Amino acid sequence: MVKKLLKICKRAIKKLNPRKSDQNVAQEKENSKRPFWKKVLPQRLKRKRKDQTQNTVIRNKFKDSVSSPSLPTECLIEVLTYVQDDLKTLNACLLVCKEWCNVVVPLYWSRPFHCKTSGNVINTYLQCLSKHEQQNIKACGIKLKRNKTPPTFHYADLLRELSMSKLYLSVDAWIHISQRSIS
Amino acid sequence: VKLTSSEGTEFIIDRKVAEKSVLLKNMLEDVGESDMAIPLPNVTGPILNKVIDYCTHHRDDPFVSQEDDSKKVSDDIDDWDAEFCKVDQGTLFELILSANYLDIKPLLDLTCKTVANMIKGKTPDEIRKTFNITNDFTPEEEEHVRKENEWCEER
Repeated sequence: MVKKLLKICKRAIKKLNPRKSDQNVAQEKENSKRPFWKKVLPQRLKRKRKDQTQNTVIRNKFKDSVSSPSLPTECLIEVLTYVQDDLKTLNACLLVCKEWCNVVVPLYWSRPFHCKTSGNVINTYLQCLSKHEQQNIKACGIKLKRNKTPPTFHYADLLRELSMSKLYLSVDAWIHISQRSIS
Repeated sequence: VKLTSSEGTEFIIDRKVAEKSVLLKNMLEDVGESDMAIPLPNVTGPILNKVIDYCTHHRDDPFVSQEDDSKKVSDDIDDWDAEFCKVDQGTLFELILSANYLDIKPLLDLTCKTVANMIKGKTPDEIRKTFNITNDFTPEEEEHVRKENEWCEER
């Protein structure tokens, strides 16, 4: 039973990887239902990152900030990379406002297994699966948390660093959590 | 090298100091020696003054190549730099913007580290207060985000 679960989860995570699957289309559709800020952000951030590495300056951003001194997103990214291993602080930053949230989420989810292993990572990944995939999992007798709304971000898209051994541990932890909630 | 700030104040600095800024360095290389002042419409006089202070103090530092993968720590600020960053928040933010615009990596690192240190250990509410940010989450959205990322909170 446990082995079977692990297999399914591994497959599920593999599927979540956006590059290969034709499930992309389905995700895109789901995406379009989401509010604007949620949808646009991952791409926008990616572009900014690229800009940063090329050392180009986004000038019109500056114009906005001369009148009211607030940090443009690319500077905020720079600042928050200094606290990225301090999960407690990062977690506080997450809930400050939407802009900060958009910066922090990719930091977390680019390497979700870096700092710790937690079953709840798997829970969130499972929520990112399409309805159809969730049904497949349920058909195997695995209970999933109900979620009425789609996840705020497409967390799986943000993955950049995957450690198989930590993934294994996380799934293991997830199984423990779900067993606890069932019994 | 002559520079003019956004209000038109002129600054005359050594070429070596100016070359701390990658933007100016490239400009000088492209244009060559010239009596013309370089306009910096994005930088105000007082901020430019601070930036020049920094570049003058660090004029002999070796140029550090960018290594993105090196671990970023924020507690390696030396005394002069710490003193330099004891300014109000508006100034600090403008320094970040100028360092970004002028492409002075060590100054950008320093100012970002300073801001990072201001954030460390604070709650979301304290951060909002410190930086005067309004919470634009609805309670529902906030709850969702919190839930989806709750693994980060666990010890």
